[in-house]
Amino acid sequence: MTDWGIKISKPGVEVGTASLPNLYFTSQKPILKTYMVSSSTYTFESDLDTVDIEITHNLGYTPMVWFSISGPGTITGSDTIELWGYYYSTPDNKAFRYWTTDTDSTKAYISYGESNVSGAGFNPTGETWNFKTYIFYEQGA
Amino acid sequence: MGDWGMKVSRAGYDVNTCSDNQLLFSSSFPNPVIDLQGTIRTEGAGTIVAHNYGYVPVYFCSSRPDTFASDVTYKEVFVGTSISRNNSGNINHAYYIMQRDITEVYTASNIATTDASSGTYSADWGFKVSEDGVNVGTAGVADLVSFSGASSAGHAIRHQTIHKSGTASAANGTTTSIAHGLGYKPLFFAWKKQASEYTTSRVRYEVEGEDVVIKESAYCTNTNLVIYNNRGEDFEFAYLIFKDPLI
Repeated sequence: MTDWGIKISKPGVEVGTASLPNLYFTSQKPILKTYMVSSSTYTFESDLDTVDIEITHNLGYTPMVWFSISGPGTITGSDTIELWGYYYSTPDNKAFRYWTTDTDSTKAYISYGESNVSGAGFNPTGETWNFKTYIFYEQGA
Repeated sequence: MGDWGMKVSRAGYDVNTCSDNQLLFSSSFPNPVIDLQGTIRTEGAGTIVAHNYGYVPVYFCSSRPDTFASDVTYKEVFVGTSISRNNSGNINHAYYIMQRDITEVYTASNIATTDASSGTYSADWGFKVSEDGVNVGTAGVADLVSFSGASSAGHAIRHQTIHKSGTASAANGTTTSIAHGLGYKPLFFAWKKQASEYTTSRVRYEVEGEDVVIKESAYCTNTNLVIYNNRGEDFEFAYLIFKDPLI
């Protein structure tokens, strides 16, 4: 079938002859599809916490996942979101902290770590972090 | 043209009055249409995939090293005339390329943004379009090119909607703010330009003596996308802001 489905062009562009960059939507091409959006919160009870946040998706394959975080310790304060920024310096700049993600065919995982450079480490007790995880139907690596 | 096209609201919301974010689909806003996609395993630096568009396109690439079980989507992947990598090791990639210029300047209208709540979803809602040759009534999700409604797990299914895109310069030692006008923190991407290529912006740090020094960062507030530049030189960047709220 060579001509089927729906397409919508940009305003002012003839939809019958519009090229792909001039289409807002075409059903002949896939569009990034969100499967689920999950919000999570974690508060450190001590500096010995092992953080293992799990988000179950049960897709049966490893999907593409986007992950964002919000919390204290960023370079600009707490009212920020850094989509790809998992690494932060501690207030004394002597260590860095990081959030990492992993994904498999059933779950996405969020975990926390800290690597000391020259100071005495960092105690996150009482810090609250918020996470949002976008899990797509599209396959991840 | 004031009123044209098609829109689908989330179940429980009046499609005529709901906010932009409560729409599962709207023809008033561009969508991230995927033109090229695939998976590939690369060994060492080199090309992941060429596109031949004649401009640098928007891309998303998920990369997983053989020896590191983590979805490191922020790994150093670049896009220019092709998507490529410059790091060592064996890495598995899943790439998605939109036939959209990464530098395209666009700002969507804000029809209604005051309510960022997501509401609930019904099991059978909206519209769906299957791949060519597949019965849309019985097609599985993997055989659908497009749909809106609810997934079998009861979660929202929707297309990401593009709110704003463009380019700007980040002067060294400053923060550069791009006003988005949404009133909440939206999902976004930013790409830093290096020579003729772009790579995903994220927090980058370096250890200098006994200190950890943040060199660059991209983040969102309720009013702005902000690029922080402490790299010691100016750089250009491109950005793509979606309608979807973050946390």
